[in-house]
Amino acid sequence: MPHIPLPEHLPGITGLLEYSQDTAQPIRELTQFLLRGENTLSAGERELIATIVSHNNECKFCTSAHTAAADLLLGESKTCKIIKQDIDKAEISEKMKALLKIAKMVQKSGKSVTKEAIELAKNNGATDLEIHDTVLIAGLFCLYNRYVDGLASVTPADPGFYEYLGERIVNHGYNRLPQGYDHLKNK
Amino acid sequence: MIRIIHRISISQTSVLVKNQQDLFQINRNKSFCIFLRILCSQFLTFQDKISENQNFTVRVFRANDSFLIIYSKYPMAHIKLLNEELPGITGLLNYRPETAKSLLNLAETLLRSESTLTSGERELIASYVSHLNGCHFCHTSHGAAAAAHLQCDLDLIDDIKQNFATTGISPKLRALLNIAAKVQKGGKNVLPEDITLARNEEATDKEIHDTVLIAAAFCMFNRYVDGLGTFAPKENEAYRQMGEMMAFAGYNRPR
Repeated sequence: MPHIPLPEHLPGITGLLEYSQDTAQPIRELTQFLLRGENTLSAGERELIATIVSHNNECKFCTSAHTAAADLLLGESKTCKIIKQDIDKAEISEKMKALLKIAKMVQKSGKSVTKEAIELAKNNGATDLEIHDTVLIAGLFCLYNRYVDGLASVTPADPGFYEYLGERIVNHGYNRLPQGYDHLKNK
Repeated sequence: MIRIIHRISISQTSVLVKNQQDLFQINRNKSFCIFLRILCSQFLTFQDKISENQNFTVRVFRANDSFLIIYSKYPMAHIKLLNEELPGITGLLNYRPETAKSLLNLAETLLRSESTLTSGERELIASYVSHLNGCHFCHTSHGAAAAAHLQCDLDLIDDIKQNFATTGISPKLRALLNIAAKVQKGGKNVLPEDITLARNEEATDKEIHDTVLIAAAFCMFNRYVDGLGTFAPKENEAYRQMGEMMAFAGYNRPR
């Protein structure tokens, strides 16, 4: 049960964002820009960053939702599965491996990012902007994960829920749905 | 902080100088090295300024036979910022205006919009979480903002590290700070009894919500600031004016 009363038809982050819409607005905007805005990293690659950070923060809700989104965007589910175990074994670019390693360090703390990790990313072709965005996405998911679990919002057990949510994230992005969320009340 | 000794442009060599020895190895070109040494010794007293734990950054821009040498008291960030004189998050906000806008709106809403928690109390939560995350820039700047709101001495910044040993804070704020500290460790650490404790001190749902979100947001801000290796002035005094600006002009002030 959530620590505070949240809309029952909106588990996880959605209920929180609806509960406090004035703080939700900048968080949504930031997420939409970082994960869906124009970028030299693909939307799928950026969802991998969200996934690995959520996984390491042990936030089940965010991990399941962003895994679903990444799987859809990448068109396969192998990569997400592997990066959670061993980044080096995934079939992704060396640059992406280095960025995911930076994200994992950020998850622990800002200070744990090493110069060597930054060098490795740069040597594999990562730009300063890509490094910047990786660190900020990782930071943003440290916010989300703590927000979702810190208020004990509901984590649905049904895998079908995350398939639906993944599709919603891929098709509609992170902005608030224009019609709101009342249509989900009887689902 | 940064001093331009001799100006010219083009290709760049950047070196993080930890001691005098490093400086001699900046460039294998001997005559260049001697030249550099002479220039730097003119402006740097190594015994004074390069202490054991303090890093120096010397940047050398060279073209043909002239040089631009910039030295800074602080190491460079992990990425090349547009203005390297801006400390902590300010250099990052300047680097990426697209994300700065949302980040500043979030800080403004969380810390300065209408709430039953005062801005002073909310800045204390922000500063406390930043301290727990070991983020000197955020801890000190938000501590200075809290001091400005609460009209108290900058010693408040140090007292935050002592878990508010001398600052009189309400039992409600103490219960909320307890929740914030749990959030800093990880969301799952917040237990029903922590919430009950806060409710017993008459904290409302909205206040509990805001506390969790402020704590979570600073787990982002702190990682952003330190994860990109930005520099932070050490002394509390260096943050006084910044704190006043944050408190009274707000986060969306013209920059």
